[in-house]
Amino acid sequence: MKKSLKKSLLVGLSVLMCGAFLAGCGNDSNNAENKDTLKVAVTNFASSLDPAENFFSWVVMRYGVGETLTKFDKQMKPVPWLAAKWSVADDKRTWTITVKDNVKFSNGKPVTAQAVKESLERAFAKSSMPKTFFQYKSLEAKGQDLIIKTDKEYPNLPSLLADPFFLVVDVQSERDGRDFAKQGPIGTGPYVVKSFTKELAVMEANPNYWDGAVPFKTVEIPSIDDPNTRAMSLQSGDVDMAVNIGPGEIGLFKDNDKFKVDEITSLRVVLARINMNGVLGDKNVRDAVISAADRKNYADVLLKGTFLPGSAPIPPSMDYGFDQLKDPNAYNPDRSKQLLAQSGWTDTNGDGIVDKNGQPLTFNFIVYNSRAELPLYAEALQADLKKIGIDMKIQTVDYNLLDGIGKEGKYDMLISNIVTANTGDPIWFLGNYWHTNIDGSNPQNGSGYSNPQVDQLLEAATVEFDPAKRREYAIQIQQLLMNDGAALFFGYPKTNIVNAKYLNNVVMYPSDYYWITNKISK
Amino acid sequence: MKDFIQKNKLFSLYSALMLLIIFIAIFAPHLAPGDAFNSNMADALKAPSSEHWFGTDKLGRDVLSRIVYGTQLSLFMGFTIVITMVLIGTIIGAVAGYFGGFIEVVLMRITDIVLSFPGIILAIAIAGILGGSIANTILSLTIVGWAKYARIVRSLTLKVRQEEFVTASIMMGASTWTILRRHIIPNIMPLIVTTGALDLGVMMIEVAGLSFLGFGAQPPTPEWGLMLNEGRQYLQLAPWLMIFPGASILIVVSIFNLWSDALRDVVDPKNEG
Amino acid sequence: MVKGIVKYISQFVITLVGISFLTFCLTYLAPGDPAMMLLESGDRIVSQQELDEVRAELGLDKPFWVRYADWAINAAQGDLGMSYSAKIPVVDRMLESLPGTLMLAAASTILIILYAVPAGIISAINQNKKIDYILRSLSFVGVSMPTFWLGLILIYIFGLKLGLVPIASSKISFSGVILPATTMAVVVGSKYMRQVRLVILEEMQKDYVIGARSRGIAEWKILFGHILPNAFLPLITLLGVLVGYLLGGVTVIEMVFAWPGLGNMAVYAITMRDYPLVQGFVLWVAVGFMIINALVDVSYRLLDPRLKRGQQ
Repeated sequence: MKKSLKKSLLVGLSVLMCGAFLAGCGNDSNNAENKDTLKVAVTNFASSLDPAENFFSWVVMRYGVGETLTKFDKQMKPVPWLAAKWSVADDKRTWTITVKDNVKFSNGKPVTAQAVKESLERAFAKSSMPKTFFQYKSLEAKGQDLIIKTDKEYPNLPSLLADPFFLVVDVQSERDGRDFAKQGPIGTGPYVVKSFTKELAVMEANPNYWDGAVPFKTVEIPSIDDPNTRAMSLQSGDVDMAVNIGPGEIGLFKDNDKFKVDEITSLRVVLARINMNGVLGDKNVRDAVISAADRKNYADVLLKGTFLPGSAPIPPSMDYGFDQLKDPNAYNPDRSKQLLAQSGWTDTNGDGIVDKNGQPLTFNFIVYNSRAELPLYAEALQADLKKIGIDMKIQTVDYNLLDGIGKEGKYDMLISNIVTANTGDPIWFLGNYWHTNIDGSNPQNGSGYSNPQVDQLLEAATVEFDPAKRREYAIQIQQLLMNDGAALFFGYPKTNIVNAKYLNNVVMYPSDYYWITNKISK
Repeated sequence: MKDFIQKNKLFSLYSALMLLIIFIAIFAPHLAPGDAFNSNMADALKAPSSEHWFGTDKLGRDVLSRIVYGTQLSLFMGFTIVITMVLIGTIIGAVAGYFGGFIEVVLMRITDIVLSFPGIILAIAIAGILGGSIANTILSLTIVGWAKYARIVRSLTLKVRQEEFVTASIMMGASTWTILRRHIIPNIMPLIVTTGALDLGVMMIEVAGLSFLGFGAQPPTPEWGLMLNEGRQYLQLAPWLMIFPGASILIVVSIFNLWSDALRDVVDPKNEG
Repeated sequence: MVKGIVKYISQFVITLVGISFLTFCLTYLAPGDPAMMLLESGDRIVSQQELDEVRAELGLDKPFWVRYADWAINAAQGDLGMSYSAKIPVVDRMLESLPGTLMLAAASTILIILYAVPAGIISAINQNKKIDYILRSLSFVGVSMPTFWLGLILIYIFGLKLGLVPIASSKISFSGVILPATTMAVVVGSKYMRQVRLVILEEMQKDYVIGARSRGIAEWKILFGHILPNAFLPLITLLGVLVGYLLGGVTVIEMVFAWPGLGNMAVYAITMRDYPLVQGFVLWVAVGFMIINALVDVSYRLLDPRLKRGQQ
């Protein structure tokens, strides 16, 4: 074959390849300069924006489209938002909520109590979830006053109304033909949906926003589910801010003066439920396991400070006495060894695992891996337990098997990453996990844990109207659970929001509902 | 032996490399320099050093040791899947080709259905829905992989069956089993072995891919794809967690691919590749 | 001819029924509960009553055969049901992700052709020379490369360190498709390059080439005038298979690059146990794959004079 032919083919090939590659290279936008657009990297689970479907209302709220009557402050206390004020009559079943009179929907229509009433009715009619929060007997609109009557007493109704399920949308616009799922709802938030897919949402400024100026003409919200890619997008300047940066990258932003990190302890707790019917039924063994878990090390070293070390059921983000609770099983591996020895567990055959009656001390820990920190916790605990002579086996299952395993009690230890109080009230969570379960009376508690004192306090707290007393009950319950070694509380995840320094007023709340507000500006 | 090596230099070289990998896999517990399983968080995320050649992971485990153990698992998975696929495919193909008739129609229809679908997608669906585990990985990749062999074996069986020496054996009253064993299997072996060898590398990559997606091996198993998935969370902080497991896959799979390619040349010298 | 078409279509239908039934069995036998996945996506504790209500809403309380029959009858009319997780029709959800997959498949195919065809030809005409060995070795590295690994390395270098391309696009853009398409081109293209090389080599050994050469016809004329036209059909066939594979969405790569395609959608559907969506996706891949194969087959029959003659 001729030399020249080969050469020309080679040259042609390389030119083609380089050309194809370079053609699209070159970054077109400089975000800091582009004052009109905000780009936010998130992880989005919603495939449409109808607030009555699944948990999509969370997204409607986070993206700055929908707002609720009340909102949570940083201490998870309800404060006015669309509502100016509220009060409850002496019967404790009739609430009057006054809607601010300057609130407008994004289509310019004023928000009246009647509009709020229709919005609430829509939420209850289209979704089965709202009635797990509360059920109303009647809703009545008088001018700007909405009167909610209930059959039961709901001491924390103002908090319940802060849940995204109850965000206020213009139901009339839907009747007039707007498709909430595809076009997004007409809400009261600073931004309106321009286009939406699960992967990318584009928002525009709401021209009729009621609560001040809206700084950006456009907000682009790509969903980048991989935390690592999300972090790199922020570093490279593809986006202005990003939600929930993982432990692998958070340090890069904290040490960098181009970025600002706002993090706050969330309402979640990561815990291992402990089965009282197996080898962990022995309180000494339970205490030994909990004492052996170096939770500070897990939070600080393993998870790079993206978690707080755990001890109590309710995270310190809520005021339920975290600081006054005493952890009887604080980290102390020497004590663990003593406790094991007290119960007759010693290493007689020298294999490094303690044994009793010829049986080594071994149990299983069931975890799932769709949250990256859970297998980490499991593996770290496994290592710590090995040091005190316990052979813990990690069993990874699919997330959607977890609930069944929990109910049937088919575990020695079972991981949970759970929101303790999305309505600001943790009593329900405590009851579900640890109220005595007699013949399925409390199916969530498959652990066999039962303490009459805890049951009594839980029952009292459920009907208590006085917040101070509820708090007191919650503290007592927590202390009892901790004393009993009812569970191993690994830690409390922090949520974070990281932004380029040129953005102002980016704030993360413990409830994780308010990401994009009209306060954020360049 | 010497002649063979002289004649097939490349094949001998690749075979030696492959044997080396198999050796590493078998003797992993003795070869691993550090602790592949026990964590020591004081040593977490240490960069490569004379103590830890490939660094340590987030739990302070020695990455090199985990890679050495990973060789064991990757090879085990690759060979198990390929051997199972070949066995199932060969049996189905041989039965269809030898007996013909209704059995053949049904078996080949099923084969066509499986073949009319990009395998890895179905494998992801199967492994994902059944839940990630090593057993499900093997199951899903086998389910989608056997059909190719069934088709090859069937056509070869048909061809061999029509050969005179087979017809002669049948007339002389040889049993079905004898004919299969004496004539059919030896004749289809070369092609099956070379095709299977080619699939070894492919399967190892697909196993790693499933684990990377979270649908395969689960922590704390030292599996390369899983190590990459875990290491990805520390891409910038600890790039060695990405580099070394990925490079291991690349090197081992390359060697297997080169070997299978050379094997084909040895078995069937006409076919150049 | 008519008989052929009827046979083709009946095969088509049987395959679709088989595939969909297989997936349906799988979703039925699989552990786990889609209702639970939906309710727990807020990580809260779920009551049995809620669970029962959602199960009834999704039709999960019906027996297996009823569910499959319902699905199959609707599917035959083009209605693939509602996605559990998206709460919109499966078809709409897939149409959202289709452009991404088409774009990535198209870009990958172009890059694959640009790389594999010239490289394969060069390698073949220089058989057993240095350049052939180099290109072949590179192709071996390419096929042995785990795509997700290569993808991450490319993101790290070209996205983060050099800032040349966006790291994750989430929307279809030209600059966003470069990295994922390049990744695909390296891995899939290397496979294709080896196939191209073999096809050309085979063609070069044919009598007409040897004849042409002995008549003193210029090498480039032989290559472009004889070898390539004859190699065209097998090359198209092989490429067709690859395109069919790309059209299914390349899951891992789409995940790594946050590319809004069907593969990404499928992984989400699988983890969410969104069975109607999984079904729809599997069906689409099967249809797409078979259509491509059919097109290749038809073009073969139309274009290849030898086959035509054979039929007559």
